[in-house]
Amino acid sequence: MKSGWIALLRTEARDIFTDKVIMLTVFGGVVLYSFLYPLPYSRQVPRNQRVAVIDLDDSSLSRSLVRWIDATPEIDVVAAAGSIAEAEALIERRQIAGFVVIRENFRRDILLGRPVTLAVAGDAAFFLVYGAVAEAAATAGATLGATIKVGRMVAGGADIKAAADRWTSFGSNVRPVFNTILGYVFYVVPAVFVLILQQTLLIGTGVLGGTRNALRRAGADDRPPFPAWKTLVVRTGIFVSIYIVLVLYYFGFCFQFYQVPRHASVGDLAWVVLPFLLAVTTLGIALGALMPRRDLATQIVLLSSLPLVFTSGFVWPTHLVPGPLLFLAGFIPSTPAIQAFLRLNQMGAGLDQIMPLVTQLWAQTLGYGLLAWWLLHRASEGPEAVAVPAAGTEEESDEPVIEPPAPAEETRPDDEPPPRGPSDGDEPEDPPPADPDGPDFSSAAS
Amino acid sequence: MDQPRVSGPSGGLFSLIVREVRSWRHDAWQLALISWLPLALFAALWWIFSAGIVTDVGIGIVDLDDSTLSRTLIRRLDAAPVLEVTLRPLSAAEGRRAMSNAEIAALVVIPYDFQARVTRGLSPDVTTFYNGQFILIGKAVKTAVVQTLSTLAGTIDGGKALAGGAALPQAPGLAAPVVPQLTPLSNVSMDYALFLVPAVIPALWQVVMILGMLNAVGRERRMGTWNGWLEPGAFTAFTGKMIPYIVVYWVMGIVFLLAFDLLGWPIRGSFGLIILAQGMTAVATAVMAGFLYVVVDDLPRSLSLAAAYTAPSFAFLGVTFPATDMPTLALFWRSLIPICHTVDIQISQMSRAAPLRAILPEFGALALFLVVLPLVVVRLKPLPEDR
Repeated sequence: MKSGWIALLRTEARDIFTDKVIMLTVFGGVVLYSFLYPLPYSRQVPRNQRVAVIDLDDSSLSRSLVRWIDATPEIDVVAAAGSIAEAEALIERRQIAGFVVIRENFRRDILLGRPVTLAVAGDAAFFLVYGAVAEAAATAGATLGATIKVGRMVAGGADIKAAADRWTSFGSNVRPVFNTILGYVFYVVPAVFVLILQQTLLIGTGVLGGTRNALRRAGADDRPPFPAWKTLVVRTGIFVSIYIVLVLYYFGFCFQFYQVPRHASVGDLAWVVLPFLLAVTTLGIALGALMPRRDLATQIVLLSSLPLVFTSGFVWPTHLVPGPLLFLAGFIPSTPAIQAFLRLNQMGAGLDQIMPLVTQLWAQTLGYGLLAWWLLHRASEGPEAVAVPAAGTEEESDEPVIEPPAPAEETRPDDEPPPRGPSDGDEPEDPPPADPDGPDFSSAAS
Repeated sequence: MDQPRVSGPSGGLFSLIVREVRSWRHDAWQLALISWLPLALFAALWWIFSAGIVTDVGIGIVDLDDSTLSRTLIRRLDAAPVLEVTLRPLSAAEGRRAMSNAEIAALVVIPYDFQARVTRGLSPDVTTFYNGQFILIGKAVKTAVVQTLSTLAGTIDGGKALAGGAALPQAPGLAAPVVPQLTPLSNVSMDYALFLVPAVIPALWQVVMILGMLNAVGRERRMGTWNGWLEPGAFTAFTGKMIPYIVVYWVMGIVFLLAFDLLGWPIRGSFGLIILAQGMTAVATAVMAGFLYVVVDDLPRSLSLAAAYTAPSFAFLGVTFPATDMPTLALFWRSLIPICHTVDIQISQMSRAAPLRAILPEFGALALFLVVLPLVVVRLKPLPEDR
């Protein structure tokens, strides 16, 4: 029996480690994406947005407002425009990111206590501009109001220091926690890295499964038929072992490199890492068992990335995502895992608080493990599976005859659409392609 | 049955186009990639953001005062559309724990003797902690809290002013002279989805396009029809193969552009310019797909390259983080991805009616992708033996 395990281990290891596409996806991809994904955000915080102001009121009050807007940290008022057309020309010349319009009668309306409106416009980074201007306007308006009120209080006889302290009934002190600099690297990297690990792993196992299926179908399967459960165990073990190293690379070296804060202990993280890797691997093996050829897994996984990013809850709140989509996303390990890792590492949650997510990962492991076992079992029993005279299934077989990949003529084009919809893992983590040492399956694989 | 393995298409471009279109009948995955699959994904992405405006984000309030005023404050916060008071922790520590577990996005702490101190004019502080890890959600919550609290403070001041004898119309002016409302000039409403959806869908479109086009080339190798396909000459063969995909994906692009307009994200500028950009993007993608294939001569490997090329492209678009703040290396990489230029053009027409001269550089960049075509054609050679 022991020799059966060793033979299986050697066979699986050979299939995995000599496959250039798998190796490059897994190692190359993980490394490449660790630099590529954070690259656009590497300045962490966007600079001050350059804004123009169209002051149609041109009163002392509106000029004060412009000064206060300029004083706001996130905005630099760099130009005064006379009209919207003029301001839009500035946007075209990329001199400003947006502009603010102070309407006529601004001062009059304020003194009459009427509501006043500021109009805001911007370009690609409009949302950023709008948010910054909204804050600026609120702060500037409040400060302006304070100045006026303090002035009145002093005019009414109050001591200026007392007036400055008490100009408003209560004050508001607002602070961010967890990512106190609101850095985009800290925002994106911890979540996206989890997705990258999942997607590369899914592609790796998917390509392996597709290759095996294609070989089997072409009658070129050179492996003795090991029992499905053993294959599952060994394949899972190999991939999980590889990925523990990659997890250390990401959460250790990369986090250090990007100075991403980590609040969780290694022990706490392990509680999440293990079921996460198991769930992804078993899902990937199940996916691979359904792939008729080598090239489909990459495509499916790649297509699912964006939907998975936006249902995972770190960009768009999950309570706003429609129920059915959230339900589907819940079947994918990255969904609970991203939340679990973010809460543990970035937000300082306790292990007890994220236990439901850990349970979800174990449930996925169980479900996908059974599914993978069943699919592997079914595949190994199919009529096209037997390529080698069946030796004892458990025993080490004699040297299997490696048949050359059959020419493609006899196979039909792939007519099995992948069974999964947008809920597949997304991370399109494929690294640069492998060099052509591995067996070339592009013609056999169908 | 009509197998796509016709050995050598006679006649030129037209028969190549027909041959490619016929191949779709036998390749369900490819057929999916040019029809229902991308549309289903677009619909799913739109559906994710269909709520549009951020509303009802859960926050927690620690009320250490438990007075009329504090209860008013809680009601006001709950009434804000963005916010919903979902938790009433008994202490700040408990609230902090809830924040760590993402149960609430912000924690507001009303101090002891709040009402008493307000009444005596001592101006106490209400402290709010908001989740900075989820920046987008955190900022929306923060803005809503700040606005609600300052409005309430203004109302109290107004009440005091009235009590102090001011006439009614003057009271709001006395209390909070500037309460600016903001209207976005280019959005119909403060719809967050407006930002993301018109960027996410083109990003996915780029991915689907390059996959479909790569598959088309890879299929010839897989089916053993490579040499037959290249018989009319590499340039003709490649062009004929790509034309149906360019057309199909271009139509798809026009369709989602129209959908944007219909779903309330109007295009203020020229439809024509965006459509032209989309067509050029389809051509540029076809050229790049060819390039990615010939560089490694193997479909799975070229797919790996395509993934590295297109997968991270959403971040490079500049919608979530401004392109002007990206490092040079990122800007360089960005310029190599066709969809980045397309989305620039699209935004310029959606957010303002930019004239052609303003976006000429982007069109130029899209046209430049054609210089890669000779590199592709040169490398498309028949195999030594017809496999």
